[in-house]
Amino acid sequence: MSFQLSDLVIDSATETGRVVDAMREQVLGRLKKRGVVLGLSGGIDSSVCAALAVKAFGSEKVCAIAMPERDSADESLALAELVARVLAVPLVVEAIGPALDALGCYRRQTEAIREVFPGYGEGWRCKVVLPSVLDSDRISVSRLVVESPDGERTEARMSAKAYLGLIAATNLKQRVRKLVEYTHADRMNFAVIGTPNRLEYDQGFFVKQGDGAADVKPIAHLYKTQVYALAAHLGVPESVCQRPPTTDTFSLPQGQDEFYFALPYAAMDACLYALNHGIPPAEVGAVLGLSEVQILRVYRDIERKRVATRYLHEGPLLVQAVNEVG
Amino acid sequence: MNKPMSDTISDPVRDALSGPRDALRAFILDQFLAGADPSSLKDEQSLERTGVIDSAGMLELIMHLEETFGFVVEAEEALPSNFDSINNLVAYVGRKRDAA
Repeated sequence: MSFQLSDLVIDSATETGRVVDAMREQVLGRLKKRGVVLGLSGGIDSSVCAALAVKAFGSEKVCAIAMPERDSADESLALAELVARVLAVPLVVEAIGPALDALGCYRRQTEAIREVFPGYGEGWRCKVVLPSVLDSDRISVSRLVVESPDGERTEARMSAKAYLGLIAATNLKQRVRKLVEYTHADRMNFAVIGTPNRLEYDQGFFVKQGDGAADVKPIAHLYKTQVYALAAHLGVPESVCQRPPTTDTFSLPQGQDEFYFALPYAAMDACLYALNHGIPPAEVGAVLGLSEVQILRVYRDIERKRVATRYLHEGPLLVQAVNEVG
Repeated sequence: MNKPMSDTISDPVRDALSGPRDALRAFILDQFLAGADPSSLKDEQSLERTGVIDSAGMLELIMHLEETFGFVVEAEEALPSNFDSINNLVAYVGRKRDAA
């Protein structure tokens, strides 16, 4: 039987039950914690995780935290507040801008960007983009896009030093958020939820010791389209479901599919699923309206990212196993 | 009259021009495979698929080519056929030098 998008369809009620059971066993049974903490970004993944957590533990055992900073979209906090209200979960708002400022996040970002655009400063905005893998076999070479205060956009290839400096500075955001989450988790003897979906988890779209750090990751096995299906089943507000996925990390608006993924999430899901199930590129292309060559390029990009981000999944490496503590 | 190239360039650059394969191998071994047996780097192996070079490494490699060989790597030239093995890099450098 040939590949169809419906191959990714799940029974949302059954899957919700399975995830909720696993969360209870993991958090209460294995980790011996009394509830869960999670960062609520106003996006689909954290909203679904929050809804699952409420089903698993009850709203009084869920601590949701919104952590806006200077470059967060205004709607992120509003959507997080809406989700918390709908789920009857108290929302802690921790503005992390001052902490990021004290750590030099914004200064370091500016210094890195000035390696490429010396005039960059107050009032300017930026983002990092990658070329589309669909149009050619081009290697992913990151490019920096800046917008001057009068709205003029310029784009240039980054030096390795500028790229690494900008990413390191920006990763402070995810790491500070996780630090705040664990502070509340320690305070309440709760576990911390990580919210990656399968696409993000598989492709290493997370910051090590940042959003990649967590005690449980309840939707890491679910394709993004399946997360949307759970969202509908769990009653996540429509405004969250309709919001385009965003990194919400750089000062210019940036879609995940221009920063990291080759295609919008639904097509990306289909390609990842098809690659995982050995489905020929031509079959996938016929469904997505893309050529066999384009799907092959996406397959190669998926495999390349798996290689490049393998270390993100590694825990600390020991010289010798310490078997007494597993 | 233009000076001969050998009078206008530094020793490391002259070395690189005389032997781009050796220069490129040395750069990749030094930057991306510190401590590895040099014989483990095959001239035909994919640098990206075998995890030798990641996205930041590719930026380093591009800058190294530009600084060492004195040409500009255009965005549309960042292709596996130019960059994804020592053999491809050597051929690419040769084509760029011929076109200069």
